[in-house]
Amino acid sequence: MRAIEVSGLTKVFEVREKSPGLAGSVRAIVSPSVREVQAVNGISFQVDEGEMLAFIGPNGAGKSTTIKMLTGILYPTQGRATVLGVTPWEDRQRLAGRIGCVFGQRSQLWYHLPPCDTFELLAHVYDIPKPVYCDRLNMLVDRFELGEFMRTPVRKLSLGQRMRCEIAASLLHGPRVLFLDEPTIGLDVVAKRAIRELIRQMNREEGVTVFLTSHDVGDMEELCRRVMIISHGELILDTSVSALRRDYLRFKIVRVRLADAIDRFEMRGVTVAKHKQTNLKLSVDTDVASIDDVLTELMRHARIADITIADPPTEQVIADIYGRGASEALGGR
Amino acid sequence: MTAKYFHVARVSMRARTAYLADFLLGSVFYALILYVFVQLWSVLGRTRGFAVEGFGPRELVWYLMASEAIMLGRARFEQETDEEVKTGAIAYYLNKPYRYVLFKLASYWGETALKMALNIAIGATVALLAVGPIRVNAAHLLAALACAAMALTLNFLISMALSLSAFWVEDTAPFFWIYGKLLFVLGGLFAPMEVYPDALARVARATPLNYVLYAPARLFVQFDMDFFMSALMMQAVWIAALSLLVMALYSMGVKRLNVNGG
Amino acid sequence: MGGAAWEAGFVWEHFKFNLASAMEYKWSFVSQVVFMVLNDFLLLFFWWLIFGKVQDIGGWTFADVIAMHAVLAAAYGLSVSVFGNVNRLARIIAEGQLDYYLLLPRNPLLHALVSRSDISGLGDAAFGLAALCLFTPVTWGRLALFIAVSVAACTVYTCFAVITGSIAFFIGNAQTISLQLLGALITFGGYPDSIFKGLVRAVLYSVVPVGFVVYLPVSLLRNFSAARFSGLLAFTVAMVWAARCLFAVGLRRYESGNLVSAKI
Repeated sequence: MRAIEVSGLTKVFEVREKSPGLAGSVRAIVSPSVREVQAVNGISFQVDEGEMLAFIGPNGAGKSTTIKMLTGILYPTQGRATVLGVTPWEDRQRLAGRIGCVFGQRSQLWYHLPPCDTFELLAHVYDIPKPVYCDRLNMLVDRFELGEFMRTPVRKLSLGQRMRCEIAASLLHGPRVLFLDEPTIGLDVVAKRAIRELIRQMNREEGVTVFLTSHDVGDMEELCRRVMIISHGELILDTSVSALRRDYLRFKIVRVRLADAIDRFEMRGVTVAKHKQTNLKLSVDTDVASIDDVLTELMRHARIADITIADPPTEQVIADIYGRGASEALGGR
Repeated sequence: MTAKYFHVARVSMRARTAYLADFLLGSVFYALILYVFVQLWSVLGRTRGFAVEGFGPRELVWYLMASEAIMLGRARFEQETDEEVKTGAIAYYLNKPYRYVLFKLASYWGETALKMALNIAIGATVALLAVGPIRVNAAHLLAALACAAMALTLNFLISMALSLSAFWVEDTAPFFWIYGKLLFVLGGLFAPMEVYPDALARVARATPLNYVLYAPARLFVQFDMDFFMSALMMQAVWIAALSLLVMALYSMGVKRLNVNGG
Repeated sequence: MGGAAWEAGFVWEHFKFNLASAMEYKWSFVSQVVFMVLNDFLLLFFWWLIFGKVQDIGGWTFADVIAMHAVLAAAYGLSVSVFGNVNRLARIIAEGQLDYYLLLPRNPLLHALVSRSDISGLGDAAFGLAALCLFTPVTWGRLALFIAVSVAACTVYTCFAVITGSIAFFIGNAQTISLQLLGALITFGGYPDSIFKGLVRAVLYSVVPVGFVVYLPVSLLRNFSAARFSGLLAFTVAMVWAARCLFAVGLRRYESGNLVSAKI
């Protein structure tokens, strides 16, 4: 059974343009000049039930527009889609009871009230029978460790606590598909790890299909087995995360500060991107040299004062994919 | 010395014109109210028992045109001042080469003059089309305008005194709400004192509110030299008294600011 | 109809929730309500002046004018306290805040309307009831009729607001024009319709339907007629239908957040 099926989905926005000033406003009313913007351009894909899928791409690539069409917020200009067998924009209300959504930048919690009040209200909104609601709430409170701040007004919660509440709130009605738009945005490392663990757990135990968009390559690598990359409204890659890692994510950025300055650093599979006395920025090809080897080699030269290891930013990954021949990548499906 | 205050007024006027479109839309309300009263007074004028000495339906419409022009034309600065007091920003004015209250007065007048001019243009058009002209001569018009200028200055001082109370009270908004309602009842916003029962009119005349709306609007519609002289004198008295009050409130408030460290 | 009861329960739950939310700030709650009651009573001052001189205005007595203000205040007060977003719909649509409601398994229009409550509306409604009882002859029957016409008037006003707000789907920024139309309705609703004639009167029963929010309800309170009462109900149902349809049509053109300006 497919959870999501999409074919030829397209969204075109009309943008009204107006020259500045009062005269421009008047002209815009009399004869508006309209420009068309292609936000999503005929994308097609399928998602199996229980799958965890990452949907990534730079700002303005059409991620949000796609999610908004799949959840019924926007009507598409063209194309078809079904989520759990339902066409979202035609049967939005029925679908809404079976999916959950978290928009990292838009809260569904009531700012001045404690989370328990929002949960209570959502139980009414989703028409969850009282005993079912109580069981479900207890389970979520337990699992997400919400107990200590269930009665604290949301405005006083930390971002991590808030996000845990947001996700719990979206799971209250036992959705079959969970749409997560930037769920870890702005969180620190510990909070990110906690959120990812919870998502993984819900997927494992309840078989929830997870459709995740993120800037953070970490979210994708730790959660998903499959990844789709969208750019300029078109799907440019649909592959497994391991293949992506093998082909495009094998580079890591290593920044080190050494206790003593060294003249030069050379190693196979390592490119020195920047070198200023004790500070080094290295790009490591993990196929050729493991991070372990690089650190051992570094320590032979000098003592290490500080170190960070990071993934290249999404934008760079996508630039890479383009660089390696978009034609080959497009054959993904 | 006064040149810089003129400059402040001009800048404030120019700042207003940036929102001209918004302001013009806002005056739809003014035109609507005038229209409604044109109908109301004309029906009442034909009703038995509704005879007001010296005021026919036409005069009543022109009266409202003038009183609403002032009511809606006065610049609203209270929120700004309230905030400046609350945040202590008012302290920054202390070391500037001008006086806070005079600075505010100048900027108030810049905005008010513009809004009044537009209101008079719109109101006069509506009234002319609806009920036709009333008899006025240039000298009387000038006298009424002088009285309106005094009235708007008086309104500034009352508003400023209420705003400065922010040094002591939590929220000044209720004061302005009450002031607005008092202008409606005792100021004679909708109808001149001639329509009021005698006892109430006497009470109203004893308050400064009467000199903010009723006096100039009545002089505009029905000039009377005695009334003009007495109104002007009362306005001068109230302006002097309220100026003293505002100065006292300001210096007391600023002292408080210094004690509390802003 | 099970659906209607279901939606009524939903509205009631939200109203209780908003009320509880507002009570968190007790002083602000009480002062908003009390100030609004005072405010509305003061509006009667002008009419007290006029009726000190005349018996009626084109057939309207002082009691009729009070009933008019009572219905207007009750209808408006009910609308903004139960459907608190009623006057902001244009902005909610233009700014893409509808997303939240579209993601929940409820009627998004109703949900958006009830998600907020303007507490001062309770003061308006209280004034309406008090003014009617204090200044006009009151019986149980009249009271029931007052409540019935006020609910109908509230529905008509709310639907009118939905229709003017839905303009935002088609032209984008419609908040100003929507507020002007709503303001015109409220302004006209404060004066007897006997002073308006001809074209304007026609407008007041169509484009700006203040006739059905105020004038017709008052005429029913003055002397009841089953025919006019059914007329009011029929118009109310028609308005509900029109508002729902226009909103549904508009939704197809909904563009969500600042998507176009910021994210594309």
